[in-house]
Parts: sequence; structure tokens; C-alpha cells
Amino acid sequence: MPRCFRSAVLTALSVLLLAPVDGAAQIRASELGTLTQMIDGTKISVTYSRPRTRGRKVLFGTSAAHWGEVWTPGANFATVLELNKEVTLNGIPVPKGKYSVWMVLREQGDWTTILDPNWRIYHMNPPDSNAGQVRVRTPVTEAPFVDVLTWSMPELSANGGTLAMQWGTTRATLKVTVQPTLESTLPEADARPYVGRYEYRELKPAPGTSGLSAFIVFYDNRTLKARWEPNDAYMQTFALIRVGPDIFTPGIYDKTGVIYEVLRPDMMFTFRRETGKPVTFSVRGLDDELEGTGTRKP
Amino acid sequence: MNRRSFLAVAGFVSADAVFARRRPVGSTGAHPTPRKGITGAKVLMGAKLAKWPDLLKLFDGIRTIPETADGIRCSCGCAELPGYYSLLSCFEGDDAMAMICPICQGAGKLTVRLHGEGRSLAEIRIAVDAQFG
Repeated sequence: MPRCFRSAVLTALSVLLLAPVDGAAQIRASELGTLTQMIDGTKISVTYSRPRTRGRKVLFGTSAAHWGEVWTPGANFATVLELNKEVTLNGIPVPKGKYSVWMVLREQGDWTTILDPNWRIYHMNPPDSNAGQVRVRTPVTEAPFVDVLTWSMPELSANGGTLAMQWGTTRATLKVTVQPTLESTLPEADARPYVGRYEYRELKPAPGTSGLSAFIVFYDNRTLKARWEPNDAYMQTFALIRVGPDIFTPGIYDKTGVIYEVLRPDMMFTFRRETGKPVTFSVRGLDDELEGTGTRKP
Repeated sequence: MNRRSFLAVAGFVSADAVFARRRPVGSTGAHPTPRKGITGAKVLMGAKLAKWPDLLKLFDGIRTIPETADGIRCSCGCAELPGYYSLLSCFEGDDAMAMICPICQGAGKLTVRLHGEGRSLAEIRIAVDAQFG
């Protein structure tokens, strides 16, 4: 092989080997991340670039962010929050839509989260105040250190959760409440006919048990509620949520009294009436198998 | 008294169910009108269900009530699939979704039972919506 040709081939190979890879495959200082959470039909998405602390002590890893100023909790283009339905954040209504997310950073006290309808904004250009913005007071607490700026939903219930942004040991939290597809309250006049004491019979009782228990239905705090006696360790006192005429599904409460889990379609109570009054009920599962029956006692 | 074992099974199934229900989004809508002359001829039967013997009774039940099953919307998301028309569709063809989908199966069992109890299509639709809507 002539020397000049070999040299040309080697040069070409060098160029190929040293050429930068495709732009999309580049390692970025703040990689793009997303959080998507469904809650009872409401879709909450956060799209954001994720700076790492990399030992930096300064706010959001940049000397451009200062206490008392507005900054996007992310990097590059502003963090984007997208909602397919209206929600409340810390009690403030937020219409469905797409927003850029900004925070007023305060060294002491709560921060303020600002949602701006103009969602495509570079982080160095925070928006001026305008009528379309939603402002939410946002508590900040200390949390175990994370190296990468993280949006998460560490708590979920049947109709909401906690949306958290964490940088280093600083965590800002937004309580999210969605529009429930099921109404857990019931007018008293509708609820009263079901109230009473029933004898409950499990069809497949656990070995060594009779499968008989009492089932108490009562009205409390605008809600039809029930419990077994002896008490059921998981269900405790639960809401009977009406989902059809004489058809109910349990709503399980957490320790704070918020409905944590709705058991539809896994557990359905269907009452049967005689002369207009509910006198018996059946409990069926997702597979429509009969789990137990209840009969009203005087 | 402990319903944990029942709920544990239900919860296990539910995870699948929720996944299925949310895929794809937007499966809610009005119940379909039963097609004139519809039959259960395409409902899977016999040897095709060899891997799922527990489902034979359900598929047989749906096959006998095509006019009713064809008037029910399935909530699992299969309504978005090509060729889908009604709950009856979930039980048709070699890849019938009801072979593996707990929502199709649950709605099917509910429909068969209520039809057997003499309930009207309107009443069955209300019960299906209450549980799966």
C-alpha cells in the first residue's frame, strides 16, 4: 500500500474515532427527567432537568440563584408541570394546563411556588408577575440528603398526595388534591335506611372460626360508615361509598381520617330491600364470587 | 375476623386490573347498542381454552347471552382495540382478551349472573358501571 494512501486511511479513521457522538447521546450536566403520577383519573406530570449537587453548597448548584429571588426548581429550561384536570396545591385551585414552575427562595419561612402559563421559558428569564399565574405558599423542611434534584410523590391517598421537590437536604412540599370521581359523602336521608346492625356470615370462614360476626352500619360526618365486630384489623371503620342504587364499595381511612384506598372493583356491597327497606346485603369480589352475606337484626 | 386474605388476593388482582384499566386511557363511554342478529358463534370454546379450564363456564355463559353481552361496554381499555365492539368482543377470537384480563372476566361473570337472575340489560349496565365504571 502506498504510504500516502495508508496515511489518508489512518487520518480518516482518526477523524471517525474522535468525532463527537450524536448530540442526543451527550452526557449533560443536568439530565432531563420526568415524574408522572395518576391519581383517580388525574394525571400529574413534572418534566425537569436534574442538576446534581456534586459537592456544591450554593443554591441549586449555581451562583445565579439567590435567597429572595425567583428560580426554577430544575435547570436549563424551566421545570414544567402539566395537569389534565384541575387540582388544588396546598389548598389553592390550579386549573388544568401546562405551567412553568418557579419558586421564590427564602432563607427563612415558607417559599412561594409560582406557576406561569408560559411554560417554555429558559431558567435565566423568570417571568414577571401576571394575572395568569398561580401562587402557592410552600412549606420547606429538612430531609435526608439527595445528590440529584428530585421531584417525587412520596405519599398518595385515594384523592391526592404530596408532590415534593428536593435539592440537597431541602424539601419543598405541595399537598395535591384531585377532583374525586367518587363522592364519599351521602345525604342523611339517603343514608338512614341502611343504618343498623346486621349479622354477617362469611361463606369461607378461616379454619377454626365460625365466620359469623356483627356488621354495624352508621351515619357519621355526612358519610355512611361501617365496621365489623369483632373489628377487622385492616378495614377498621370504613366509608360505604355509593356507586350505584343500593351498591356500595368500601373506602379505607388512613390514620388521619383521609380515604387512603377505595376497594372498587375488588369489594362490592349490594343491599336488597324488602318493602322499601334494606334488609340483606351481599359482598362480592372482582371475580363476582360471593364472599359473605348480611342480614339485618332488630 | 380478618378479611386480609380476601383483600390480599383482591389487591393482587387489582394491581393487574388497574394496569389494564388505565391502558389505554379513555375507555369510558356509553354502552353499545346490541347488534341485530348477533350470535355467540365467535366466542372461544373447548380446546382453545385448555389452558384456562376455570374459564370454560364463563365463556359458555357469555356464548348463551350474546344480545346482552353485546350491549355492555368493557372498562378494561380493550374498547380502544381494533375490532372491539362490546364485552362480547372480549370473549371472541383466538386472542380473546377475557382469557387473561380480570376486568373482562369480572364484568362477564357479573353479566352472566345478573342475566340468570332475570335482570334487564339496563339493570345489568347499572351494576357493571357501579363496579367497573
